[in-house]
Amino acid sequence: MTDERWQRVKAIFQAAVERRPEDRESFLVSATGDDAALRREVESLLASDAQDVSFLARLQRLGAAVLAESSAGLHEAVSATTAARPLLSPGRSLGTYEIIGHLGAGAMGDVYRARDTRLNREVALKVVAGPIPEDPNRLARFRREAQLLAALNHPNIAAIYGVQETAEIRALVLELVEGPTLADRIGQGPIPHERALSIARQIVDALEAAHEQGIVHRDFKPANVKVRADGVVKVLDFGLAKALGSSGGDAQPAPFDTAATREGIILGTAAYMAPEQAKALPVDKRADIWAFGCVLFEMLAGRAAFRGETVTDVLAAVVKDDPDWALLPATTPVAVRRVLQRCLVKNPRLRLRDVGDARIELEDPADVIGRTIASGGSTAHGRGWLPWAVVSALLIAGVAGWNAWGARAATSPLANATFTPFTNWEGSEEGAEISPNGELVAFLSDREGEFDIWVSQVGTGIFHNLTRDLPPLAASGFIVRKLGFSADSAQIWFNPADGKPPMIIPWTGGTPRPFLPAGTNTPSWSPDGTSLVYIDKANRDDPIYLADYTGADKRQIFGPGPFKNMNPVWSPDSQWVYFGRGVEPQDESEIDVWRLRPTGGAPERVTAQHLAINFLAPLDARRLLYVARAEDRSGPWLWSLDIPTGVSTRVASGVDQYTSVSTSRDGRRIVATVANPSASLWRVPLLNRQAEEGDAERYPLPVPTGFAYAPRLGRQALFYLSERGTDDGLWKIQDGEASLLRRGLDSPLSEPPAVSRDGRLAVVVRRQGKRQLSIMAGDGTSVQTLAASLQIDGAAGQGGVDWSPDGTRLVVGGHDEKGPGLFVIPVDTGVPSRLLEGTWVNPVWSPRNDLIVFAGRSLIGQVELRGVRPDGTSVELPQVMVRPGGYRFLPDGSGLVYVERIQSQDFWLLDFATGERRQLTHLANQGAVRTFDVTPDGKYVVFDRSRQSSNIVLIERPKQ
Amino acid sequence: MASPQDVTALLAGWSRGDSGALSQLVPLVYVELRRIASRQLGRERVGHTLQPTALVHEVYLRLVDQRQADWQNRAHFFGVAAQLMRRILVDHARRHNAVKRGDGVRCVSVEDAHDVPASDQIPILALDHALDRLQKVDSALATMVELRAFGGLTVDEVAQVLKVSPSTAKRDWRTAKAWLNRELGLTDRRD
Repeated sequence: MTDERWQRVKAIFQAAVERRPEDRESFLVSATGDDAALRREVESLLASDAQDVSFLARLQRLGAAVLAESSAGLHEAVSATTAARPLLSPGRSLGTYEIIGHLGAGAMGDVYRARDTRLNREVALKVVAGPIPEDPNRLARFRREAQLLAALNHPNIAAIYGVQETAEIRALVLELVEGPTLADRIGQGPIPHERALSIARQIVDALEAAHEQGIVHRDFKPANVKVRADGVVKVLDFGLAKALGSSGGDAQPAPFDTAATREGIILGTAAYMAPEQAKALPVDKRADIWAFGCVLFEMLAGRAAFRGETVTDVLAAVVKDDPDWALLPATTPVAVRRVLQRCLVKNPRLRLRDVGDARIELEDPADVIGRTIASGGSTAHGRGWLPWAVVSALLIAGVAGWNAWGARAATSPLANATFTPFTNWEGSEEGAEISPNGELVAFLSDREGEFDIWVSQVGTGIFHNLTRDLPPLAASGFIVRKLGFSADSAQIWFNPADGKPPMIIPWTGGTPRPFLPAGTNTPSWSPDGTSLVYIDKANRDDPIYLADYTGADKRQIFGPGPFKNMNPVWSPDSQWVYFGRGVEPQDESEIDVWRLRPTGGAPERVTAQHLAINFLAPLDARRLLYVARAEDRSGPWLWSLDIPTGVSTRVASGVDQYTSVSTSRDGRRIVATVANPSASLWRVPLLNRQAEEGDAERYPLPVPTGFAYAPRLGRQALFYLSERGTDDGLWKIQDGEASLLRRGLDSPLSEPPAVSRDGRLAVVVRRQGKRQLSIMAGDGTSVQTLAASLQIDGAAGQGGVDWSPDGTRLVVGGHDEKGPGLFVIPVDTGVPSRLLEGTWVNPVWSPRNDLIVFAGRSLIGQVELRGVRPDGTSVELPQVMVRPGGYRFLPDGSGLVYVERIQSQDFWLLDFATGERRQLTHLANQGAVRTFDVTPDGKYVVFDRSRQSSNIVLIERPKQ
Repeated sequence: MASPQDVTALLAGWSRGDSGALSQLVPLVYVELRRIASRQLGRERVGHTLQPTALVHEVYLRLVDQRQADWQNRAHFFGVAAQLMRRILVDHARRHNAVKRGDGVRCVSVEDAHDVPASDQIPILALDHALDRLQKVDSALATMVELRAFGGLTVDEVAQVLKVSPSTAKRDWRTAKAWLNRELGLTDRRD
């Protein structure tokens, strides 16, 4: 089609749709004349236009199919779809389960995250591939197997809750386990043997429990093992291979299931098949033991025990070859090697018979020592155990808390510690560091305008500004360590500015001098003070260098790699350098703790949490503190890492956010920077001139309010939200008294209420993941949900609902099953009626009852004001761009106060009579404004201001 | 990683016609899109299905300094991000489909894209092919669809980006929808 022709088609189409349907035909005839092809072209467009059903809505659910960066292995990339299998999309229901998202594709079918609407918990739904068998025998067997599996109840086995069947789909309802699979973990390198053994022990527990019930996994492999962030292991898909097996009866091994004939899946499973499985002989629990051996091998070696290019090659290796034992790290204990050898015996009759037998060999020596000693010194465990000489040597050496090794739950490192505020200044302090001898604390503060380094001796209360006379330091950001002490506690290093070499200065003051090459960062001295490690940030790959304590004589101990390195610290015994490694050092990045011998060599990964870890601070031989955000991006919080097991736990619960941590050499003193977000209510008068910052003042309140935001003014009362620990919720101040009206429901209240003339409240609440409308009396009682079929939309924190002036109706923007719109809801019936179609939100109702102002949704931070009369007739407003939701009527309805965009500080007024806009305020930017309202007498704008301030805390631990 | 100031400066430069700025900008946006999407995929939260538009918005917040970027720059950003998002989704769908057929990477025809039977979803590859065809017929309409479907812009915002009146944008959007619906509805078409 030529360009010209298309333009004609388009023009005629567009003209035709403007006409009423009954007039279109005649219009077409006259417009196209005798060009039949042209007319057909337009007609086909008209036909498709007539059928249009929410094109974009169908488009938006493209979501699930994106970006396979993290998947490990070919079998993950293969979807086990057969042509007839339906795909479930989020929002759909399967019986009492509501689909939330697509988790992945496995050998036997797609797995979805779903919500059990009866029990209100999340589950994994595994949709079974293949047509539903009509054969009643198969169906009966499937159900029987599923029942057996459901009876399996063990902390290391992902539970099967049941089966959900509909006419088209059959799905298994499984326990949802978060976290990477073992396959993912191994994909990132071999696992340190202590950690591998901890995982292996849990697997043994799981396998043993299942075998006792007569259930065999049959498809055990790393992809079927999930490792949670807290170290708990869950084995998935137990026995499913049999339950869902093809018609071949028990003898048919899983990988040859007709539903899973994709090359990749067979390959993924073949590597763990026992020889008897590979030969299609009957399998029993010993096949699991073989697979366990393969998995243990792979955890330690980082590579599969049996590999090959094709399935045939792999199976041949399984049947004929031995694993390459040399691939196991040299530090692998003899006992573990023995277990591997016994598991990977090809003849099942000679193989390790009971998986429980493997447990002994995999146990932590300290556990055994404990039990041995407790039982009076005799060991019942048979051959190959630690000789007594070694045991007593360990005891004498007083290896740090062998008690603790046996116990799973470590006590908090801050147990019985005392917390003292070290600073409590206005402004921000950051990056607090304590000297190795525990006597000095240095930190950054903007107390005197720009950021400087301040230092103080513990206990003196005297602070010195070390860098007052120097140019301002680099822009702050509490994510990266910017200063620290030398090993002898006498000097402080710091980064003056990005790109400049680090400087060092005596803590008593003086002239700083450069001491490391430009671009290097975060030097750390060894405990004995003789050497130093640092990272060369000027080199894109962040190599780690070891040098002598002056920085001279450097050599690289860890070379380039695809990841970034940061923040190296020495272990107290000087044996290891711990550092962060991962993707870009940023707020949201994925960093883990790794460690490296100062002599060099391959580093080991210690954690697999992928949080934004920074400020590593060794506490003792076994624990490392650091600061990081949680998985849900809350925080940052303080964490303690138990090095041998690689398990991290959050320290110091509560709402305090920690943005830095540092420990003294003996671990007795810790300094941390604690962030204190604050929010308060302010007011500024509406004057004939622009109000300045000096005209603004804190809103006079009869009671101290702490953290207050989102103000709403009724005739008699002020309402606001508070969010700070125990007193969260909606507050009201009336007649000099404050009362907490409501706490949040299943999530904190985050929307301010709309207040009617007679003092009732309407508010948008989050209930079971939906935003719904609630009304209540002015004292927070008589809560009622209105219009439950409506989901309310709109900019967060701006309300989203408003009352009619006479208090009989409400207006909201939202959507129901028919689509989006602006809705009016009479309070007495609660039945919404659609005022306008389209995606319109955040309406406000004029006190004069002649206008409702609202806007569209925007991702870009500004929306255009729109108007409609309460009866639905349209109204032209002057073109004004505003912050989404950021507009309120003057009490007399003569104008609209608004904010121009997100992060604007200033208020403007739109005068309806003249259509003119004028700027009401010119405030100095002291904090972020989010929500505002106008006082009933029209004299003030009341708004919230939030700030982030932080303080330093000194934590002293009792002698251990 | 580029700071918000860098990205904003690049956007501003590109707005002024510096095409070199675009070539620096694209990889930054691309990396960020992939990163965020990977993370979202790896940690799906309650009710949080991965949507390309939400993704683009999040990348925008992350990359662009809100205080500096004016309207023009924002619009441009979404244009770039929308194109990239489309590229990413299509690449993935191609890999996904090709591997499914077991014969390595190869170009998949529109028909194969229809293999995925979900009745209420529009297959990405089909859309991509259709958009390519629309690009040849009317490139402004194709850009509009890209901005709306992958960049998440409203019709009004698209009007501002393409510098047409809102009513023109509305009419054009309706035309684009009709054309696409017609294209996607035909199952016998071959490339």
